[in-house]
Amino acid sequence: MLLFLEQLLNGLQFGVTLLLMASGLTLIFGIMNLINLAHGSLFMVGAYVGATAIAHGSGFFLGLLAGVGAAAITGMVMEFVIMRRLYRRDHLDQVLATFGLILFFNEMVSIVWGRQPIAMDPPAFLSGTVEFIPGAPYPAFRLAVIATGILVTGFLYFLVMKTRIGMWIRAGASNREMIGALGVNISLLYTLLFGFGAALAGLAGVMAAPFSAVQSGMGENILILTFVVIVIGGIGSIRGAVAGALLIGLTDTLGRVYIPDLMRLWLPPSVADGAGASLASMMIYILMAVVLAFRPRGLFQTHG
Amino acid sequence: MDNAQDRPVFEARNLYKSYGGLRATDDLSIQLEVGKIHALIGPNGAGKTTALSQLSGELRPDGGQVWFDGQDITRFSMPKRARMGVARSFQITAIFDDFTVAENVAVAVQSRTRHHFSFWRAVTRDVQINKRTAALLDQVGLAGFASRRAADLAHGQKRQLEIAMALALDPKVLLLDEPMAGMGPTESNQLAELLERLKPDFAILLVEHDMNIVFRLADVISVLVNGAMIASGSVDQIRENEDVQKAYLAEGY
Amino acid sequence: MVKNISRKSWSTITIFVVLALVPPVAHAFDNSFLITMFNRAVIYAVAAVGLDLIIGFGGMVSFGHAAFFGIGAYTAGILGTHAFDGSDFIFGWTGSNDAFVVWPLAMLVAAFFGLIIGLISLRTSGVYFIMITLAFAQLFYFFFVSLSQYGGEDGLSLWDRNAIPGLDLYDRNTFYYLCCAILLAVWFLLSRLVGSRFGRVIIGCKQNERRMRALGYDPLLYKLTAFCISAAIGGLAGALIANHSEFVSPGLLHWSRSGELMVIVILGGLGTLVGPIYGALALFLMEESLVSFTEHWQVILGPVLILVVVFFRGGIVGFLSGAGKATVKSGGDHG
Ligand SMILES: Nc1ncnc2c1ncn2[C@@H]1O[C@H](COP(=O)(O)OP(=O)(O)OP(=O)(O)O)[C@@H](O)[C@H]1O
Ligand SMILES: [Mg+2]
Repeated sequence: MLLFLEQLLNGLQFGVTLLLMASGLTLIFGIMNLINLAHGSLFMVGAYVGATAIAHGSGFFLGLLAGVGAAAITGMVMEFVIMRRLYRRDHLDQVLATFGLILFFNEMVSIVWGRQPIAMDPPAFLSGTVEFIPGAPYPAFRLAVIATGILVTGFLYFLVMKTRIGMWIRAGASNREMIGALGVNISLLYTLLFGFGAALAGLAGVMAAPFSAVQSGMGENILILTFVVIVIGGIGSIRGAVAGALLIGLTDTLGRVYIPDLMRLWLPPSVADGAGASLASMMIYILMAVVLAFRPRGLFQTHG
Repeated sequence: MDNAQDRPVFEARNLYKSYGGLRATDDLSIQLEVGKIHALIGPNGAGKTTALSQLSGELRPDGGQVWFDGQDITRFSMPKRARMGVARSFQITAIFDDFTVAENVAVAVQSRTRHHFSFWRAVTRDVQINKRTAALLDQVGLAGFASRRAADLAHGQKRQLEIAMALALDPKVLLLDEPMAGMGPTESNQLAELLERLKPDFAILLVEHDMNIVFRLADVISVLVNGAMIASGSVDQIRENEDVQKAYLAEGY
Repeated sequence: MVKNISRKSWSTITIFVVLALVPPVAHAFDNSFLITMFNRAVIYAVAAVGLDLIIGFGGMVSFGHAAFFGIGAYTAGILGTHAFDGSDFIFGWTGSNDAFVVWPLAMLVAAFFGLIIGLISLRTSGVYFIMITLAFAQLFYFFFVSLSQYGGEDGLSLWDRNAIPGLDLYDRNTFYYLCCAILLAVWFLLSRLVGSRFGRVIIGCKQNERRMRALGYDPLLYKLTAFCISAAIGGLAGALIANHSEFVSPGLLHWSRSGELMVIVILGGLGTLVGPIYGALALFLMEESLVSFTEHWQVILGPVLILVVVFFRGGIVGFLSGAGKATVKSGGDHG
């Protein structure tokens, strides 16, 4: 039971990382109608810069800031140089150009940091455990990640739904020209928005760095999972993104722990472990297939 | 024979459709007969297109039935209805921009022939399709434009192309959503003449804003306001109907 | 228009002549590696021509085509393994080494999974379709990674190349020309297909699905058929690559492989069928020449790709036939 609670929290923590990625991606997709494969590269940039800064003794918060800032700046430069030429192109062109970006970033990273993964430790003040469920000490850093994710998502929701900027954003999604006529500098707004989405990806990157090897190509693994989140939740739906992220985070985490156990119930252990592990790695994709078979436009399908 | 002509070939019974709180179609019943043009008029947003989409099968009504040729087709999809003989044109021009004019019609003609899983023979050499295509282009007055890219046609010609595509299906029922929209007077007059020529062989539903055209072509006129039919009758009946004048004609149409 | 068509058939003739000349030239320069490299390109071209059918003509942007490539390759690999050691595959069948059994089967298995993936993903369109096909490919990737009895992550060796009576597939030239012949056949069949009634229907579906439905067509049926055909061709290419490298691994299904196939199609010229052949040659030649500069050749390839997308929309074939500059389409999907 305690193990289960712990895994539940791990799943939540993974889900929160996915949510940060998904928010940025849907924001950019919803408003600029751009599918950006290189969103994973921004995640990677955040992780590398954050980990490197911390390794050089910047301290955690400065490192976090460096990672987020680096991702945001990279994102804005990306938007300024390339993306704005793609807004009016079809999705195929966007996929290919941003695929080119991925190749560039992955290789660039291995030129700068080498092919070996680098590691990042959680900050000292969060390296301990918290026993907020009696008998089940839980790593403080993971809790902090969960809390940060929830806070940021709440902030995002507030920003989009309740503020003037959010109103522009939502109106821009439906009518680019009108917003231009209102005197808002739309290309600046887009650059900033892109930077904001990138910052979220960078934040996710730094926060995920202690749990995973920081290496070239790490962005795409999470990017594809983020796609699954978006597909399951329904494009353009904030609630969908939240539901999808939690569902995937939990399914993946719990699946890896419990599916082999479950399989042992009716298979010999040696077979069960192999089959269980393979089933666990495919689990989220199977989940996606099942959801789509019944709801082709995702759980929280929007009209249109 | 006489008898069969009088019975409506196409019929909608008590259709309902709402979008959220909005009643887009409210207890709509309508009958179409071969040899008659039934005009559906009403102010913008009255629900004409929504009604037509339910007749063509693109939208599923919340309630009510659609009958064709003595058969309940309420649950049939748009393609299935099209294959049975219910053809439609769209209010917003829907043609294949990258096809030539002839190819646009040819793909519609091909739909009648049913042999779509032929992977080998060049469709451009299909004599049957080409002959019928040429005849249809001739009929709507586009014969001279056969090899032009459809996107490059003038607006009025695109509307004519739409009619040709609908006719290519050899339908019994033609559902036309504002076919004259955006046409100049000469062009709409030509199209009106075409519809008059077609009239004896088809059951036609014509959504149209131009009252001169409606009064000239229609045998029956139905007036739709807020999704509900407020009047239906002959041209003279509708002209004199006070409700209609209040709700609609007085607005300056 | 007529001039364009003849230019296009020139570009087709040219490329096949070039391909035919590769072995003699390679022997003249005593560089047999050249044949190996071109052979790889030819096999990728087979898959890419098949992919062009659905992207260029059917408007289905599949980002998961490596799955079919990999499925075809593993079909050959798994059947070959059992044929080699005589062990049981299923129902007492010990696999096969016969190309006339293995290759059609590779196509069939790929088409079967194409059917399943297509049934689920073709009900959506646009970005959804891109993401879903990508995710499905990932599903198969992880499946083969965890398929430990067939090598798992490490992959699987093909101990014997498949056999065709009267041909020695171990002979570099024979295998190369066989692959070229298959490429020619695939190109020819698909050229017929896109000009046929069926082709007209899928091209119509790409342009305006709603219109097609109003004309009495059920787009899903035709799109699904095209998708399966494309998957089968991918499976065939997979079986060929397994024979070429005598080795299969999950790497064949990696998502970047799907990206590569798409790059080949666009680089060569979308919706031309011959374009992907140019695209495959261009990509592999570029790779070989860049690798000799730096091991980090992708840092150059990436920006090149972006430039191609932004400035040369017609790809190589569009450029050759002079159509590249003029095609500034208004975005395909409406925003
Ligand atoms: N998909 C939809 N979702 C929500 N509301 C809709 C939808 N389609 C139509 N409506 C609403 O239903 C009503 C009827 O629309 P419809 O297009 O049928 O009118 P119409 O009579 O064809 O108008 P017009 O003369 O402008 O063509 C309108 O108020 C419209 O806003
Ligand atoms: Mg309308």
